[in-house]
Amino acid sequence: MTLTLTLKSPPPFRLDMSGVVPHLLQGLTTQALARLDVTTMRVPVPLGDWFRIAGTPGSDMVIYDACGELDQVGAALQGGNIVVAGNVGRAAGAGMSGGHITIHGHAGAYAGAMMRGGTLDIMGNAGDHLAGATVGALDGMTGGALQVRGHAGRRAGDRMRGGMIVINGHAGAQAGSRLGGGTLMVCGKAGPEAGVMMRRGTLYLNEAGPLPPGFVDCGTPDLVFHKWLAQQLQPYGHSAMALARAKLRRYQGDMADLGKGEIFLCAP
Amino acid sequence: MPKLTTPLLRNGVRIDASFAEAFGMRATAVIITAPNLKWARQAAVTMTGFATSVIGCGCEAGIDAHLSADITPDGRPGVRVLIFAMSTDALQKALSDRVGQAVLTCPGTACYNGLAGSEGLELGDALRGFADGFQISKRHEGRHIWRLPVMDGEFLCEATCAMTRDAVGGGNLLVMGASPAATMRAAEAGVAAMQGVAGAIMPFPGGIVRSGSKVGSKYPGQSASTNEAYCPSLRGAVASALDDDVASVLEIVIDGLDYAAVAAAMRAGLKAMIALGPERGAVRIGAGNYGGKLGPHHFHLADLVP
Repeated sequence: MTLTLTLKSPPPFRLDMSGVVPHLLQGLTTQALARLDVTTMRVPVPLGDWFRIAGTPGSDMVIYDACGELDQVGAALQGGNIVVAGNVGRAAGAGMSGGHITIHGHAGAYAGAMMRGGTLDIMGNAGDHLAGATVGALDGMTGGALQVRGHAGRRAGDRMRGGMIVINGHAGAQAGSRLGGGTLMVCGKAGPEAGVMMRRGTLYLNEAGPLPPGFVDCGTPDLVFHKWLAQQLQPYGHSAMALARAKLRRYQGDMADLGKGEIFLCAP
Repeated sequence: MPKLTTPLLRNGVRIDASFAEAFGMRATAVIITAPNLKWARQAAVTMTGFATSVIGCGCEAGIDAHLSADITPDGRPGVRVLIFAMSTDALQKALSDRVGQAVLTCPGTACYNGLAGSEGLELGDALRGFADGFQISKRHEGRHIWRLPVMDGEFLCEATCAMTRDAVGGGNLLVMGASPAATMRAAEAGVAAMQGVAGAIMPFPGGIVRSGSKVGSKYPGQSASTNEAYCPSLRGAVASALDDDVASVLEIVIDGLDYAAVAAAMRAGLKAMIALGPERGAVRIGAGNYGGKLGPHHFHLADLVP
């Protein structure tokens, strides 16, 4: 059975949706669901005041008419499916360890922050610090898969340690900053200083602004890894596969830090 | 099915009322890819060289199948190699040694796990040290890959490789012909048919062994010795198992990832050799066993003939 939440109207304040994930809702009645507190303020805000609730809590959940005031949608998700029709606010899918979230709209900052597993698919654009580390966290994304069909803001993949991010559009400045592992692909153009202070991990960039000075040119080796990765990228669409199969120049760095990271940039 | 006491006759070929006795083994499989099939095969042939019998080689190995580019992990042509051993430790050593010396060294190759299962052996994990700190670890959707910089680019190697405890080694057919040429023709036809069966290999040279053995010897320390009962030149001097019309005997030994694979290979081999007939191929086909007391897996020829 699918639980359906339909936003009655855009709220004048932000709502914290972190408690509205399938594994926390099991066994709740519609009345109990309606009493769930989704406030971000001092006064309680019951879920039922802002959403029409239908269906029974199970592994699947759909949120209709969502808007950018809904923060932490699908945060800490452990399993099941969440589909969102509309935009979401900050930290969608943050800390999720399993399951699938599909957002048919745009996502705010910190989408997929500290993800450990599962898949997050954002059909629109994503804000700054995609898959990054929120305040106080040491690591960003450590596992799972995240795809942004549109563009991403600044510092996508900041402090990422593992997993896969594919941005089909452009990325803002400093994509892959402080990267410690995992793979980040930007099928469009990445802003300046991609990979700044990168320790390990891999960036694939179709185009990029000026790279940080701590990267060294390693030529255009023909690596089997690109072919292997291209096979794994079939679910991410043609642009991702084409980038992995392109002639790529390898830059290693950031030598200002550990220097074991790499940027593959399309060679002219 | 009742067990036969007299030989069956199929297309003029006598089928012994006998069975092949086989043993449980540990096995793993790897997929080797390369820019073309030539170099994938080169790595596989080198890796499976001197892997005919656990008695003297520590493992038994062979090429299971050629893989087209559309079904390999990196979209390049490849081959699947099976390796069998009597213990997990022996299998691990054979795998590390052979991939390290024959695949890592072979131009253009990459090596991946070729078997489903959770119990793992070290593959790239055992070889990553070769990269001397320049190795790169990549994980994606449950797969863990090591990238080792080498002089032609990178050697890509999956970190671990699955192992099965259900493997069966020692399935066999004894091919008996009226001449060495006819016997060879039959054995070759049998091996060619068996090579089409997935999950089974024939580890001896060209899939055929001419020195079938018995357990033990008159000499101390010799664990296996010639099977004189099947040596045509000793026919009159020993208790021979050969008929007057048998001039040559060849054996096909089969290892499989499970009982069904060995049975399917034996069935395919029997069918091909029977189709050849006694004039061009074998006059008689038998199987080797130890009276059923040593190996838990028995493949009765009567159950396998077409």
